[in-house]
Amino acid sequence: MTTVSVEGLRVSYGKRVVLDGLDLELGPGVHGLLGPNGAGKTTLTRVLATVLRPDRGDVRLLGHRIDDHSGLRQARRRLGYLPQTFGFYPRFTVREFVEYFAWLKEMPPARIPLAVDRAIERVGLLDRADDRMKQLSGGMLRRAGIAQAIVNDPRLLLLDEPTAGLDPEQRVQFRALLREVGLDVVVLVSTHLVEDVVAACTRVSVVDGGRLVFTGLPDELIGTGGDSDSGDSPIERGYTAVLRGARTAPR
Amino acid sequence: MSRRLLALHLSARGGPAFAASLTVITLLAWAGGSWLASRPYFDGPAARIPVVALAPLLAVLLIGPTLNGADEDLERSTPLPWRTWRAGHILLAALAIAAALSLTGLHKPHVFGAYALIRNTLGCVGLLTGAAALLGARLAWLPAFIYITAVYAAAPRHGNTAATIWAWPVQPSSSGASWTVATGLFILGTASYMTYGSRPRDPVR
Amino acid sequence: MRRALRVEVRRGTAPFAALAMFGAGVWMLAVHPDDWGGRWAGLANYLRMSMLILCALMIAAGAWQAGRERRRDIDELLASAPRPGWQPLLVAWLAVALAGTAGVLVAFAGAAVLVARVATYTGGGWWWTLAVGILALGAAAALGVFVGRIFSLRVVAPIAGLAAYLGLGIATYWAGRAAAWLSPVYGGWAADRLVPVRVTALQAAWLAAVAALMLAAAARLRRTAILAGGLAIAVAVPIITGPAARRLPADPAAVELVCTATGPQVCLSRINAFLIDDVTAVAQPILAHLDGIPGAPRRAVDQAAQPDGQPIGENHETVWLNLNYQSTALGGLTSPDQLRADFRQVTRPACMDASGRREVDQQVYLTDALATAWMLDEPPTADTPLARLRALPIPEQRAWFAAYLDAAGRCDGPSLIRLGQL
Repeated sequence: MTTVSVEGLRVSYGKRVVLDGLDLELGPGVHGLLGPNGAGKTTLTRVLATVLRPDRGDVRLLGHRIDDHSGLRQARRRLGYLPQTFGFYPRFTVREFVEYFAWLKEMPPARIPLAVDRAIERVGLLDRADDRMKQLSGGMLRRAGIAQAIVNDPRLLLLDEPTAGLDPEQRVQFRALLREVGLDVVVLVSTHLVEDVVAACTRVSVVDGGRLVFTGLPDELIGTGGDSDSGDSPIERGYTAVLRGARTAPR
Repeated sequence: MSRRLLALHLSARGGPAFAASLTVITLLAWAGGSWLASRPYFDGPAARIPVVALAPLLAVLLIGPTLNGADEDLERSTPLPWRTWRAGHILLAALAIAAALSLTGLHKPHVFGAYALIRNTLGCVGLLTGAAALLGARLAWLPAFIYITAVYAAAPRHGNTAATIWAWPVQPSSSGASWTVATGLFILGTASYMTYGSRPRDPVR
Repeated sequence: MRRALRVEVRRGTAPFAALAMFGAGVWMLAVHPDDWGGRWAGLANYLRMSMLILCALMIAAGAWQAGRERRRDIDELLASAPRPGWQPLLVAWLAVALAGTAGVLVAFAGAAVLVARVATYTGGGWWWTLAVGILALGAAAALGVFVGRIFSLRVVAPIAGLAAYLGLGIATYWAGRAAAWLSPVYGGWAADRLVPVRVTALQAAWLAAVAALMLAAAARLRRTAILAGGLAIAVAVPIITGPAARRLPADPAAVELVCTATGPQVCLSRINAFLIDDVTAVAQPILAHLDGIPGAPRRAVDQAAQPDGQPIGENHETVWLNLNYQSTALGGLTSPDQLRADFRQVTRPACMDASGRREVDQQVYLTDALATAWMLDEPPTADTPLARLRALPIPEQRAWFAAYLDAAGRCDGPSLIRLGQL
């Protein structure tokens, strides 16, 4: 079952083309999105989050076309998003912050209190739920951000570098959360940490130079790497091999 | 090297934007003052009270965002003699404003003209810098804004000793008490900003 | 909606707005209690007078609140939410507007308690003045939200506030023109005047339309903005072409006279009647002193009850007392000296040239001062004309004063100078 489908996506900032002719199909499961800095990971995530309007291309989220107004609103109700630079209102408590986003996501008012508590519990912040956002550490803030992303039980969850700032223990917990959520939901995790991909992702895609250069299982990515490729782990070697292949191949 | 550093510091703190805005305010103050002074229902220069009270405030508010850098902690960890820099920063800004605004009031400088503009610049700078030390640069504008607008809105009808003290921004420049208050505020505010800098943002984090 | 509003009221700019508005309200009330003491209409007018600073603060608060999304980098998250953008905006505006208004109203409620203790007149439609003021606060917050949406810089909040302050300040100089009704700031009419219902309704519609226009423009709802803008213009036209604020009709019930039953008559209009004991204590001894002197006034009447167009001094039977700024916060008389000074109109020589300017000879002026001092029973210093006048037998003193009034009424310079040479 495909829930995200992207065809012929082209995005440019002024003259600089960031994504060009990108096709992508995603079904339920946790998808890792790898790629060097500036490859277009964040841009792709922002397009899928409906924040950035593509120049060209056909984007369908959860069966809705995003250029259609009511379809867009329907899709957004089932969307969870954590941007890379994640803003917050410092005076809000964690609970209020998540509650506010539950309201923004047009959840039925009666369901909000329970959903808020559940989301905060799932990210392990229940004991800090009534603290102000400004009193949280960097890792806690990120977890609060994840809580707002999952509060509406999204069918499509987009996380842009969610593990940045988490300590090793929190990352282990976070991966467990990802696996649990990913059972019946499309999760797209953009990251630089390849070990996250091995540990938590069912599929992995690599973007480079605005194009999708690899998509498959993590084991397949590992398989592409040879001993001559640079990297300290099998998946790092696979990753560099894919990039090298993409850059030497004629466009 | 030091000149280069000065140029970098000024551009890091938004110096060019400050200079441009100050020019605009000076022109507005000049135009507003001339318009008011030419109204038939006012007695000459006393008509310029709105300009004298509000133009320095407006100009001084622009110093607010320049009072701290993008990352105050990062800057403070550098070996630069920050106290001297802060004091210089304030004096330079106050001098720029006082010079620009007093140009607009040179016509009859003693009755609500150039002198009162300088006095109010000093007082407002004091309120702003003191507030920056207490509340941080983000909210530094608030006390000066509230105080001056409140005093102007409620300008006392009958002068008495207490009024010349609390209503210093709307006194004629011949009132010694108003100068004492404004200068006192300036010294107090600048000294506290010089010593403590602008209060760091979100101290818990 | 209610949930989001509750969060915004507690955690947004709202609590600070409430505090600032409360402080500003208390400050304004404390500075000029003589403008509102004892009179409901005076209090409502004073709220509108305070709009100068209150609206400026509301604009600053609105701009601060609306710039927050971009300053805090949260617009990215907001953009991906399904809820239409105008709803969070509306909630943010509502939180600031409600909290700010509540802050002011708490301050004014304190004053209302003081007014309620003594007020002798409750009518006059002052609550419409108040309601328009509250609408104005909402419109100001909406304007701030619009500005804050366009410019997210922090310093924009105070600058927008100051600009509004200046704009409203300049608008008060137009008090003589109808366009001044477009400004929510009080146009300087006396507490005993009635603002026509038509003007109040138009003003309310204008402010509501401006608020809607600003919010719609901030939320980028083009069609709503055009509609609200059209409405604003449609309402502004009859306001601008209508009558100005200067010549408002008196409220007949407010200026109805309340008079003393005993002694020389002192009459105050109903709206000022709470001052009658204090005024009587000052005015009756003077009236008693003048009792029976030909040409001297026999009663003192509140100037508010003076028929429109009749200049002071036309009616020699009556002294007009100006009580506009004569009430303390607790309802007492601010300045008995000011009230006694109103009696100067009795002794003032009727020496006007054609243009209405008063040209008085220095010696005539001295005689005037002498007559005034005698009338007000001021203590003489040794060997002055006043002391010599007082040394005369009472009937001769009264005859001198009668002669003075006669000469002053005719502006008979030589007689006045002679009368002064005692």
